[in-house]
Amino acid sequence: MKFLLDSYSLLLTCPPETALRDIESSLSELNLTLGYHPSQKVRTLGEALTKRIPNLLSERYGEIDDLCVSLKALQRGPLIQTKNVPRSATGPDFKKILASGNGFVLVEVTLRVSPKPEKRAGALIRWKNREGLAGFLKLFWASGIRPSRFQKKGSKALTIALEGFSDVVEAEMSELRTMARQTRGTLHAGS
Amino acid sequence: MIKVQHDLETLLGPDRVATDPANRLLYARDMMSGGLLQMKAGLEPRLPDLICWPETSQEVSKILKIANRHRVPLVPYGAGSGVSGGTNPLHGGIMLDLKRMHRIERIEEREGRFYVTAQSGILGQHLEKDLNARGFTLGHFPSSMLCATLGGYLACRSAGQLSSKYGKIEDMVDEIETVLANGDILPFGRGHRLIPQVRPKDVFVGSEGCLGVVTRSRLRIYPLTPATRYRGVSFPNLKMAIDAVREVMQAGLRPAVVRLYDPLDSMLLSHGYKKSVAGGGLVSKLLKKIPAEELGDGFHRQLLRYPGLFQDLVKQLSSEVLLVIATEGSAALAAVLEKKTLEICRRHRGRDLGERPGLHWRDHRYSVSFKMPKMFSKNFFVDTIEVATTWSNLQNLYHAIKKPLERDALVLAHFSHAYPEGCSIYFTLVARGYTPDHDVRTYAHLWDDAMEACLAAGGTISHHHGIGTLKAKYLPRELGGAMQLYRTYKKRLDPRGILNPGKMGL
Repeated sequence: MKFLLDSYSLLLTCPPETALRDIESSLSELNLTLGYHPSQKVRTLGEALTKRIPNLLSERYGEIDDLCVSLKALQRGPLIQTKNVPRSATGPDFKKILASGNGFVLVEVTLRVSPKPEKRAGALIRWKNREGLAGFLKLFWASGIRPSRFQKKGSKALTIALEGFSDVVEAEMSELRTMARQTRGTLHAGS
Repeated sequence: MIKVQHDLETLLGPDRVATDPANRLLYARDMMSGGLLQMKAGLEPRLPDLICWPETSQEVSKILKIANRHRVPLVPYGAGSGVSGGTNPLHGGIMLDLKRMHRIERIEEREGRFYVTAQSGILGQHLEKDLNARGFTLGHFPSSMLCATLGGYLACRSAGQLSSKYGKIEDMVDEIETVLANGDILPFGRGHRLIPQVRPKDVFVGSEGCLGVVTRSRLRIYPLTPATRYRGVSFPNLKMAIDAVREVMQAGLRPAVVRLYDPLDSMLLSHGYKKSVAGGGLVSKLLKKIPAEELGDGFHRQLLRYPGLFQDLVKQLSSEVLLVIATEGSAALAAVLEKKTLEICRRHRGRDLGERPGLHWRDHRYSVSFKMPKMFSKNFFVDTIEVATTWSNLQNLYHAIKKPLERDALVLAHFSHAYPEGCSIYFTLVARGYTPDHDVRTYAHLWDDAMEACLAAGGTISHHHGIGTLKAKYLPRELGGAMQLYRTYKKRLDPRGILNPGKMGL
């Protein structure tokens, strides 16, 4: 895979036609991850961007266009290159506009990457009624837990995935257990 | 304009349209320091012709139809707290004050997450207070929140003091409702044929009222956290501290507050909480003479005559810097996050100073904005410049901007709004006033020097204050080929050029 890595800012630059699988495997060798787990089958980075395929890990890493820090694109004219900066207040978010397709041809994409987490854990929590889940949601989002995946399953269950430093994940898991107990939920832990 | 006034009074009633000189003068400029200097120099700003106060999106739509029909400029206005001249009515016309659109319409849970829907004219402080009363927070705390509106936040992609955890306003916004120049209302979830395949929020948020008027928005909110822990950490130098903050952010810890002060700012802050982290002896004695509220005596005027000399002295005496952090969550988790953050800091030779520096910051975090008018009245002038770049380029950008400014101003800086890939730098300039005309020129060349240095060093010229008129001439170089795209959107969405004309180089 042809790519350029800024290992200090953790930015990866590659062509949009790069296969997502290749990106992840190359990063994995460096103990890094893109943090993008598409919700449906998609082959290349460019396809994921232009179709805005949702990221199952978006709570921690953001959607694919959030992971995109800058890009180069062509549209019947000069090359458009957005600035390689974390955030700005210089008009609309042009990288999101360019990434949307809309007649633009992506030439190069720079993505934020992250260190591979030390630990991953997951949980399925079920309640007997909706009130249990509603009570849990308030406790959960106040707790400071930063899940990678957070998905409601119907009106009485949730799946939550956690990742990061081992001791943080363990503390988060312990908090999950406490909150599930407080709201009369049943927690099934997984990895 | 008489016909426009008549049409607006017919629509809104005479009580919601003002043409009196006092109101027109009040709406003539925002909080940009340069505007105040220009007024002191006798340069009167252009006044709007009238101010009107809609209460609903439908009224905004009808007002825009009137403005469009008569080809009259219209400036969307929140609370006037901008610092880039973004709401100055350069061509007169209508000031569309949205403050009567201040309702919180709904708080809801969607797919397990919480959201608020509110009108754009609500003041940040009121929005936060109302959310707090219902057990929630937006997590957005810009220092202007006492006098800025939600619409203003969205117009210039505002950032708050807890952005490391909650993000900037564009990270919080889920949907927007926008009224176009021709009066069409784009409701939540609806795109437009003129901007095909593009989400309206990506186009209108940050466009400073030049492409449309954002009238309502839905934003992510969070239940209030039970615990917050504050900490100060000192580092031997800026590089070590930057390395620590970078590692904390890249590890995904996301403390709610991350503020790293450069050596001079660290000295002033440590003087504030009465605990020296930055050299003793001469520096402490010197600093005892610099409480900002007393800047105005002869000592300070002399000091600011040669700001470069003073800064050279500071560099010789100390390179220590202060980092303020805060972690939030349940008591147990806030403690674990703090512990991990401090572990990383220690690896980079950070020294834990306990909670006192953090508490001092918390208790004074809105004070600095209110000290500025006093300094102007004592014939100093102050301004702030906020830029951003990647971690790899951060120190380069810091030195590149600081160096040319030090000739004419005392320059403090802090690094806040940290992200995994980079960080913003917030410079504060304090300069001695001479004559009003001289100060206007000095102000202009300070900004020129800073923006040129920023562009040359590859930083972005604004992280969260926006462009307005102040930075408009630099925007084409900032955006490169995207400027043409921006102008194309402007022509498509506002063919008669009525929306906030003269801003952002459009």
